[in-house]
Amino acid sequence: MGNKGYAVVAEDLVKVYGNRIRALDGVSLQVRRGEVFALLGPNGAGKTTLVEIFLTLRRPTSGRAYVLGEDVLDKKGRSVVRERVGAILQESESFELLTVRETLRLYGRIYGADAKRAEELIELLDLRDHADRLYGKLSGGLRRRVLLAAALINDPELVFLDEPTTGLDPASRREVWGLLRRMRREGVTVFLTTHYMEEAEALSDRVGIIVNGKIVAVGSPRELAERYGGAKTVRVSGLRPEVAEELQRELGEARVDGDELVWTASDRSEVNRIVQTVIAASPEAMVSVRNPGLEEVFLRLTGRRITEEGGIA
Amino acid sequence: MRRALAFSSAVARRWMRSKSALFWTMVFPLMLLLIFGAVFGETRAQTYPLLVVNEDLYPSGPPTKLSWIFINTLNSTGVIEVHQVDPGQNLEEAMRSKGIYRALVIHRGFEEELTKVSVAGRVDVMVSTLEYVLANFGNRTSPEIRSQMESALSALKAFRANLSPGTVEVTYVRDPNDRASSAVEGVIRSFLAAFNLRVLGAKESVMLSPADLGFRRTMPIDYYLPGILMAFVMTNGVLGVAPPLAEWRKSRQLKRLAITPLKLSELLTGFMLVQVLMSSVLAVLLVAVGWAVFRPSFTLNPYALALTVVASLFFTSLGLLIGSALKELEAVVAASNVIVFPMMFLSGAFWPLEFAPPIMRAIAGFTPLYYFAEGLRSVGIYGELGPSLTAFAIGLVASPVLLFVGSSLLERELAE
Repeated sequence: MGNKGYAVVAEDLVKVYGNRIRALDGVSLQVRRGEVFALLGPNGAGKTTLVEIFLTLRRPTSGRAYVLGEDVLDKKGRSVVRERVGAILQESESFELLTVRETLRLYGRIYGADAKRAEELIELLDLRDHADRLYGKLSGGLRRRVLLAAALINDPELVFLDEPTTGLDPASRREVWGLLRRMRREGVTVFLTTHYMEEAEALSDRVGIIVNGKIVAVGSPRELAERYGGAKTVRVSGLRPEVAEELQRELGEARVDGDELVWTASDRSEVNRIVQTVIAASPEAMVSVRNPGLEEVFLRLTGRRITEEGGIA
Repeated sequence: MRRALAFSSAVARRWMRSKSALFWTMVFPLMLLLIFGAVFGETRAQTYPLLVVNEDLYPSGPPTKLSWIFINTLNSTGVIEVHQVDPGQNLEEAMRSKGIYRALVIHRGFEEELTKVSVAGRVDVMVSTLEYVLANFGNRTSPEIRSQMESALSALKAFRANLSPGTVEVTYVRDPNDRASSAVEGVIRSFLAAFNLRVLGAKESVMLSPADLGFRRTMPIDYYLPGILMAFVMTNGVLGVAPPLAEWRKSRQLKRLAITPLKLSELLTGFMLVQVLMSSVLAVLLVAVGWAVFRPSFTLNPYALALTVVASLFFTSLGLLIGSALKELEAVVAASNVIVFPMMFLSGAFWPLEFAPPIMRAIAGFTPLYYFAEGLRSVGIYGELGPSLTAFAIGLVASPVLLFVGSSLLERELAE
């Protein structure tokens, strides 16, 4: 019963399709209640397969999966998922010829929620002006808002969002981010899958990186950056040439990037030393410190980058 | 049931908001009923167009009197519709231009020959009559009268020997592929028989007196209405379920619904409720409009309504099976069309199989729509349950089987 403390638990999950494709290869992870957990990985890494196992849409080849403390392979687990969990499935849509209000009322009636809940969500997700428009006539961003509202209609303890912003323009993506931050403030556990580094970094308490069906790292974005991200960099611009020469003699040779001098620092104390030395020598200089991000983490762990479309480069 | 009703309300709204769905499920069957009723429901007697080439003309140009009478009398039968062709015109060209591929040719000399044949015929009748009287009543007449009769007979025979022994010929040109040509030929032969009697100055001894049936008064619309209703219960059932299932699979709505408390059985019940409701509405609509316009004998009695519901359940289950067994939307639409449209035309739903070739009648026996349409005719027109029992049996036995197989496939897909 140790799983009760977690919203989601995977124990050595393996999923093989047709005896050949190993979509999941021994995935184990734990998601705490109330946190936003992002599963980051390129297309085909196994993110959707994992989410669909948690949502009882697929059966694992081996291993166990628990949602809100219940084994999803049990009847009780399935019932828990269907009653107390919300979800947006990857590339899913809703009924084109129902209005926003009708869509939410339909899901409400399926869950036994009263009509007030649909109206609450229309207000909460700022859908008032679109409530009587057909779903099929909405923009991509508004559609995701409706799907998110439908995912929240049962006031779920846990929400799975499988690539909720894929295919959206940057403005709509940021709109969805705002909604996810609101959910996080309200204490809803969110299990998010994405191939956008920026999204995982901006929204999640913890990130799991999945590649070829294996979790290769789990931690907060900061922990991961510290553990796998490599050196920090200090960028300086606006130096007179003689000051620049003097600083390079003192701090070691810097890399030149445009009109900036770039020093690398292995830890925080070295960053402090470089910044203090530069400011002492030239108070008017522009100094910026850049920490490694998930992009660097992914690069260090896999030797490759995830492209905007979710592929590997 | 609450969830099933919620889902059926969503399906019904979707259907009502789709202009094309509304057209094909309700408006189109009504249009078809009105068109079929108007075109085939005409109770006027069937007429057959016939080209007539009259070559028997006076030297000044107009047709001879007897040939003119012949043609007019033929035209006044009410069965043959005479279209005269100029004797100088090429007959094949005339056929093509008028689109009538049967013709009667009255040859030159018709009047002259007919006059001779008429006199010879009348003399033959007199000879035959005198011979009959002498043979049967000669010994009961006085010798004097008998002798006069024998003299007259000899004189008539002598006169007859100098007359033309032949007959007058008219030529009937026909297309062997024209299915109505033998019917027209029969009508012409009957007409000629009557004409010949008139030429001889004889009267018909046996007369035909037509009388209408005083019971089971049915009209063509009584045939078409149940056929059209069942054909569209079929298309609505199959095409109203299979393609939406495939669309919802493609947009992952089925999976989305599968992770809610909505059970598969509730989803299917929702579908069934909408289809049964739609079929019932269609039945009421067709019968109401049909009654208002054509006054058919067909009524939507409880048996007819029950059979409509059973047919709706059967075809909806068939649609579910197609939508579950095939995954791609294009494949589902193609398979649905392959099943629905041939069945619509081969089952006899739209036209009586009595006129169809034997192979088509045999094929119709393998189509469920045939039994549903025939069953509906028997309960809706004659109130006879017996002939509809096969249809009830097909619906009540096959629907649960189709439903079970379809829902099992769907359940396996949704929970892998």
